[in-house]
Amino acid sequence: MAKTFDLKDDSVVVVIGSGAGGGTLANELAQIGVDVVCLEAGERLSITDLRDYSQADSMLGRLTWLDKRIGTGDLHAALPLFVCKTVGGTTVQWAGATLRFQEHEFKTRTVYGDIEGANLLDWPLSLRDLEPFYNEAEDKMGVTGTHGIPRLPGNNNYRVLEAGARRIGYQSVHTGNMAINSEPRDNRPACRQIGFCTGGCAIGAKWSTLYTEIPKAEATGHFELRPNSMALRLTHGSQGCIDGVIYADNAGNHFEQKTRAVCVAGNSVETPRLLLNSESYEFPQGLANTSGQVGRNFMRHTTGTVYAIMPGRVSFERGTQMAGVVTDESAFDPRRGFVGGYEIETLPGFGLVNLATNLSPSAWGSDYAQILEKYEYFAGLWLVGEDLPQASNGVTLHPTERDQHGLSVPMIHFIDHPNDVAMRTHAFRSGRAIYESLSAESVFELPPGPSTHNMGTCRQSEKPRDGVCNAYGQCHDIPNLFISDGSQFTSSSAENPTLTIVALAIRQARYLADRLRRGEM
Amino acid sequence: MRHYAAAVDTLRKKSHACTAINDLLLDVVAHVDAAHGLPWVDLSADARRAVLVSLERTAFFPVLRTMIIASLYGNPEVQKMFGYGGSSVEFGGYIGRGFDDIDWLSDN
Repeated sequence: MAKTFDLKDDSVVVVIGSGAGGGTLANELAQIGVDVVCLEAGERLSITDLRDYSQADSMLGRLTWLDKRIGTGDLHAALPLFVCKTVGGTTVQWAGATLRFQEHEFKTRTVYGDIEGANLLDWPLSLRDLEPFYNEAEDKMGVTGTHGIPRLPGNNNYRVLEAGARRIGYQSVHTGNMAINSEPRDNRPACRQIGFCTGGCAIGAKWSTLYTEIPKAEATGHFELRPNSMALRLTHGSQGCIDGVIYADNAGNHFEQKTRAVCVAGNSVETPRLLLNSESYEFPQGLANTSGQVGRNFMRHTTGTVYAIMPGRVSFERGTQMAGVVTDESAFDPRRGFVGGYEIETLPGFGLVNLATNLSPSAWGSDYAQILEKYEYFAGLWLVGEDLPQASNGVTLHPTERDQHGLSVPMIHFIDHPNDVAMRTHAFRSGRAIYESLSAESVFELPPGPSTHNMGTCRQSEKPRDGVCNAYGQCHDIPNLFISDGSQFTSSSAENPTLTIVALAIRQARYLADRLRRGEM
Repeated sequence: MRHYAAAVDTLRKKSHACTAINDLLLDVVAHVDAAHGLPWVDLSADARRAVLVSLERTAFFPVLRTMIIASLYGNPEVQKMFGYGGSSVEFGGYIGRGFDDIDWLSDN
């Protein structure tokens, strides 16, 4: 069973983070026989700790990363991002939508051209390079609509979306490619339409590294998980290679794990923050940052939510939250007035209190109360599209503010590119049209929430001057340092990012194991 | 009306346990009593609304709004009235319990 490794054992690979990137990578390495120590800042919950958060006893506070951050620009500064501090990371909280990138989305600079204000760049890899790993990832995660796995049944909220979408002429409408079991698979049960997927799946029908990759890695005897272990900084030797990771436990005790290679998967804020906080005499700009691109090009998808009061009852809290998608608008079609595309996905409210709080964030009074009385008639969808990388959007360190570990607090800046605004306007129009085609009584457009996807900040690039890492996530400057999460994304695409994070992690594991076998690190 | 009273009662209980909430509520009461020359309880419904509109931009207003929403719409009795089903895991999910029971969509 679970093995333990000595702090001085410098033959281990250290993986920082246990979510989609870190958890997958660690298991893939362990399966090959590479010894791995996985540091996770959060606690290890068991599946019996996961309850839905339809009532006041919300799981969100227990899962979400709530350490101090300062948001500027269009971000709701005081609100947390979609980042989790828990074993399993955001795979505990995610909705399960598992879509592949489209071919052109790996070549945005070539296909979209030179767009003012955007820092576009082609990925150093193509869809063809990633396809075998997408296949493996979908099989691993049990993605519906792939590998002969049936799609999930549509719930009421989906059926409203489907009917409206078809009525206005959309063709590609289905219950999605979901990493949620539609039938028992991989020793996990089929979905029971519990709803509130983003509070954590209480029965484990939804793929999460918490109860898939992590225990499988432990069973190999090549893996040790250290929860409640916050990585503080990476250390390097005179050759400029990483040789240790300093981390803190919950009591504030510091440890240093010696290592052969380090893979960072702390999500798009903590990953660049760790590199920047690890500055040294040799690397005064932070690690792996001779390009100056560490922390830059933060992407979070262009999003919006549309709710509508329908002529009949919907009860949109019932069933799988995001099992429903319209993909017609995800293609590249600049005639719409913007580059990139967007997906339209089902998204119910998160309960009555949440709907009342967020439907119209400052509304009150009897008119508003009457709207909320129509709760049962609400339908909801989410618009999620490609946002463009911008050099000034990203993560920097606050010059003086320190967190509980004494580390510089991250400052996160994000402003919309005009392309993002044009896309959102178009997407709101589409969402509204879907519901109006079914004679919706009222339609509400909700601006982007604070929690969306997080990508970029340590991007892949062919040339070292343009980005932080190569097509395998290996840092250009430091060959035994890897970026293993969504931070390595060069573009954001119209698709939810988890599948691509998992596919990249599988690919990276093979590459890294091969290099280790050849004694290159 | 009973449910609004219950929501206020929830706030009252919270204020006993938390000085900050207590101070905030005292501040709200002082404001609404002072706003119109007459105590709040003696104001007409229209005048009350006007008073609240005048306080919309205060720092306490959104905090109060959030607290009232949580206590009013978090009340299981209110949720039942609204048809909000809430947590389902303890009943085996919404499978077989109406997750796909929509009946007003036509097939075209």
